[in-house]
Amino acid sequence: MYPLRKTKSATTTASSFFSFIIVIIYITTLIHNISLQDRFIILRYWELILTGFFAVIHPYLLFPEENMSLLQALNPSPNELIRYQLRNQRYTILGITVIFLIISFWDLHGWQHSILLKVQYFLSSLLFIVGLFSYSYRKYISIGNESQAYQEGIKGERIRKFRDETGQMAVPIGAIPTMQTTIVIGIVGMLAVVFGAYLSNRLQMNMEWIPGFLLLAAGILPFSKIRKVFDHFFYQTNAFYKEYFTSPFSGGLQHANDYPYESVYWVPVKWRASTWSGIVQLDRAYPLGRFILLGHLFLWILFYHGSSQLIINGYLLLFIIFHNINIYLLTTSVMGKQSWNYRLQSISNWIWSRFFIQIRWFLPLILSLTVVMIFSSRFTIYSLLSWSAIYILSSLISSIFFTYLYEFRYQQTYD
Amino acid sequence: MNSAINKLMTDCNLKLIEVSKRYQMGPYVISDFSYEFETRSATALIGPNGSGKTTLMRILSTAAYPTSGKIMFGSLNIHEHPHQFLVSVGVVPDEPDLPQYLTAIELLEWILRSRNKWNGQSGDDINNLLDVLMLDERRNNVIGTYSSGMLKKTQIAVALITEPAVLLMDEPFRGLDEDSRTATMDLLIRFKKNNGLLILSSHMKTSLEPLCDNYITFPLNQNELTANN
Repeated sequence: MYPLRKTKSATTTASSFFSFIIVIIYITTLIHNISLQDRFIILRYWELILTGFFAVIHPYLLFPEENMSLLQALNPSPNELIRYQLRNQRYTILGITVIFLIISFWDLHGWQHSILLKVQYFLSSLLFIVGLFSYSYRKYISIGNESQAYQEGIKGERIRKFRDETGQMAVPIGAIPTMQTTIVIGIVGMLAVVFGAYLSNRLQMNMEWIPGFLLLAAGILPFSKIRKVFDHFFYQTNAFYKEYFTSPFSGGLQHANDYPYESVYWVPVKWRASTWSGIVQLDRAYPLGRFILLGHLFLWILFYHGSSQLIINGYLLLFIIFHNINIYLLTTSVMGKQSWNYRLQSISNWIWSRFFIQIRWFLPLILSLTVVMIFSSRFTIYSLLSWSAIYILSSLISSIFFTYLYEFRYQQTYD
Repeated sequence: MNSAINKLMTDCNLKLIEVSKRYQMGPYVISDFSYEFETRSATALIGPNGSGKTTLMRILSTAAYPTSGKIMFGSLNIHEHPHQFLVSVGVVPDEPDLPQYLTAIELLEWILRSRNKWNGQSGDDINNLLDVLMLDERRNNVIGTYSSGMLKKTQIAVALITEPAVLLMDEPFRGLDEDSRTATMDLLIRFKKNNGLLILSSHMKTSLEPLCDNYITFPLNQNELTANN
């Protein structure tokens, strides 16, 4: 009757759409005149990026379930639960499909130029992503039991002992199965891309559909075994991630002095308190630092492999857009409802607080680009300054944009 | 198949077998807790904030999983087969978490249809239930406009509309005015008499006396449990 969907706020919808449009515009501007071979290389790079995306982000897309009490009331069957979760991810796959379509067919010489080859590579890339998606989904949906065992002390005694003795463990122990899964999916996905490219080069024909097909089989075949008891996996994994995402490090206990107020000394006093509280909340809820570190590593890999300027620029733009997710996340109700934020400080102060929260990643970006500049003659001081300016400007625009969607619209409604 | 399961489940007790729960490596909130909730009974979970009542309610509703131990509903392990268990269960969570753009009537219709319980009589059943709960003509307004008391009434209706065998209610009377509280209490007494199994958490021990047969005091102590019963 009413298909159950995750409800999205205006902020979520607008930010997703806006980011997507930027990516599409950038791709269409830059690829319309490139060679066929470059298109296929770009498709492979996208497959690599999306491997990283699904490896790291997928559990955040799936869990925790925000409609839990409604799901309990509706009590969908296992098959209905599967359909529900897949429906919630349809726009992700659709967005990727659109990107692949544009990369494959947006051609100054006409989309029908070398159409057979383009269709082949488009379909094999799509098959790869669908295969990767199903593989990742299968892995993450069944992770709850193991994760809870690590989280609550049933398993992982050696690791816990190591942490207690050495004090060296930056990762919550409950996250270990997730991390292992992330690494496995990342490695499998990357090897699949490399394997497909290798086969195609060796046999001088497109064999890149093979790894996609294998991934799909690796995802769907085991999934068919758990389909009938999917409800058990869904509820268990959701229960784990609900507790984990609420407080990954210590179950809600002993958070004092995790992030002292003094650590934001560099922020003007007027905005220091809300900047500090935003950083504390963000870092507890979302381990973005790891993603950003991975992003920098991937940038260095791209330069090391001598990737074209097109790819470097495209990647840097995406990377900066990803940074701006910080600000979007701050304008969700879990970080502070609109009514609460609105009472706390003015709209202009929210804009500046969020800007400074974003700016904390500026120094790592500068350092990373400086490393690139030192080791690569292609990246000049001009490039560094340009990308720095783009970062600062995008941070300011994002801060204004998301604050407009969140607090300003609230003010317009209720004042 | 669901009606067959429901019929089988109406005379089943809910049995907790050495259930423990902790969050990460924190102290155990519930430790080796064994207890049997019986049909035709109402049990109140009483205790201060943060003592574990909601944790137990979440475990009983399969929203959380125990660290160890199991919970049996008849011969069914509720965490191995949550969908089958939830066929017989109505849940009133503490937080109102209802879709903002449906009316109460539309929401109840959706639930009945989703559970394949909609028939020609259902429209009247919905209105009758909302009459008993004293949700007035605003049942035709969207839920996003409701007060906290109206939200609670809607949650209770959501739990009861499917005629469950087990009712799990976290603070069911919070936000209700005195007349509504009395009406809800009568409804729950009737539910219990019709072979229902009711577990609720509340701060208001004295006012639950007409309804509840048993009290479990939190934080849990197995030795004190027997004395309370």
